[in-house]
Amino acid sequence: MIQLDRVTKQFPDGTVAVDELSLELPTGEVLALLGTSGSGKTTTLRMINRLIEPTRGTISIDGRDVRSLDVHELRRGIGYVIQQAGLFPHRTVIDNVTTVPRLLGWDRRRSRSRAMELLELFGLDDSMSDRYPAQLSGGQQQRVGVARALAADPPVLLMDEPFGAVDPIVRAQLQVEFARLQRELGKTVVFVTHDVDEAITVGTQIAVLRTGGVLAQIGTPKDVLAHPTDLFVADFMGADRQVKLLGLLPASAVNQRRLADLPSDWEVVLDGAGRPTGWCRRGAPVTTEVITPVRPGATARAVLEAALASESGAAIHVDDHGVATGVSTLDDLSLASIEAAA
Amino acid sequence: MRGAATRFAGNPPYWNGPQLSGNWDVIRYYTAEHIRFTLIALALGVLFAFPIAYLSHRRPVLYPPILAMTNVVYAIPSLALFALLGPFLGYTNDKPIIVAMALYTLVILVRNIVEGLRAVPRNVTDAATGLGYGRLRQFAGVELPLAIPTIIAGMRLAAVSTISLITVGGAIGKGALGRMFADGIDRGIDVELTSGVIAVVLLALVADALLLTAGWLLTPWTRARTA
Repeated sequence: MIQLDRVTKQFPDGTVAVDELSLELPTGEVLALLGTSGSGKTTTLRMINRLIEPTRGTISIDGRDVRSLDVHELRRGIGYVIQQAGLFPHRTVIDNVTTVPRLLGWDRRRSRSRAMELLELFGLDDSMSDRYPAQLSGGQQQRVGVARALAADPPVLLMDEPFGAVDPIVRAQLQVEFARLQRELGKTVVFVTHDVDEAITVGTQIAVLRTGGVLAQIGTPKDVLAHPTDLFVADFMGADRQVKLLGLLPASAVNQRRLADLPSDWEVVLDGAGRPTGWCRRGAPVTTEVITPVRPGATARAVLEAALASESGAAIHVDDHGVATGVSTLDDLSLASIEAAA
Repeated sequence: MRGAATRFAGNPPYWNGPQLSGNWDVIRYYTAEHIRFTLIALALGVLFAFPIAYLSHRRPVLYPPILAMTNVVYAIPSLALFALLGPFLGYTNDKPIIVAMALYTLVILVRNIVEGLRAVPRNVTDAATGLGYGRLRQFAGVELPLAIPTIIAGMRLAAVSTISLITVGGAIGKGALGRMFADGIDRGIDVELTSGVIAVVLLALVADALLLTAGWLLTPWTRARTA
């Protein structure tokens, strides 16, 4: 558990970067610190491993004030990942990953075998281990950066816009990969980002900071999207925050009608096995249309997209075998009812 | 070469005649002395430059005055500097010239070490600190290696300039190969003068090549290409 208790940071020039910030992050949760530049999110992160010392207030990890610990010991016990990875250019991948184990005095064999294990976990094959960072792609460098942070198996991980320097496609991959890994590893993570979608993907908690390092809202991604405390948070989360929220809710929570109960003259065309092949007007000749059915496990957002894409304005739900089980129209996509059902 | 070993016991060898033949021991003797002066001067220079550069890097406010001081030292004409150092180090030994050379190297070495350290990417030092490096360990293990290319560039310049500047000592009876310049001019022996010049130039080229190679060997990562 990481606790910040009325933490304030005022720089010598008088700027207040973080103002009376209090928050609690239970063990195993991922806190996305979300805000624009100047909102003090990086300063907050850097106060946790004491790269910056707070002016007032206390920060504790598992009940221990971080200032009561030796600063180097503290940092070796906290994984740290930064933008552009910050890999050591003069060290090979494996030597980068074994940095903290070596600082902790592990023997060479144990450090190396741990590093190889991590590289494998991150999908970096053996041949990469002796390369220099300059020989890796941006995405690979970021993976090595995360592997390096995890090498000594620290319970806490601090990540400062770790995927900020790669292209959007790689970035999305890294986010999903990280979210999946985190479910296995169960680290307590503080993740700084200015990207709402990233915060939603990786965070189990989101803290929105406003300029001057004031906490605007903290809650689960669903909470913050559905119930922003004020206009600032609502604006920050985006005009499409309801659509983003649909992305966090299951398709199964959307009201489904029987195929026969469509409130229009459209009909679902089925093949012999009951799988949808298209739409047609009642009584009109059958024409086939490419359709994207909503599969089990999809999000409510997939229902919306299917309904918008369809000529009939309705989405078709299918089961695992592709057999149509029901339809939902745009009228069924009311947030209140979906939230209630989820 | 007859009796070369005994002829000059304790005294520098002496150029005989207007020709090269029979005088190789003179060239060898002064080349060896030149190398010795250069090595000691460079070693002293590096020894002093590192702590000064480290301090300038850690306390950036000290950097401009330190740089100014090394510049002032560099601006002192070499003969004047030999004379200034005399009272402290003696007039008849080699110390004044070696120490003067060492002081001259500081203007290049301190600047290059500091610039090399400053060029280490911020996110790299930030990562090192954040992962729990101690200050000196981070300096030795992360910052210094990354500054090697700039430091080696400075050492090449310092070595070549030292090799060339030592010869000025020839005017005061010191100065290794510079003695051959002075003696060649005094006694009108063109071959002695030319031999000295050629030896100095060769020495400078060899020193430069050696340092270049050392730098190449020490920085394998700079040659790593995307596979």
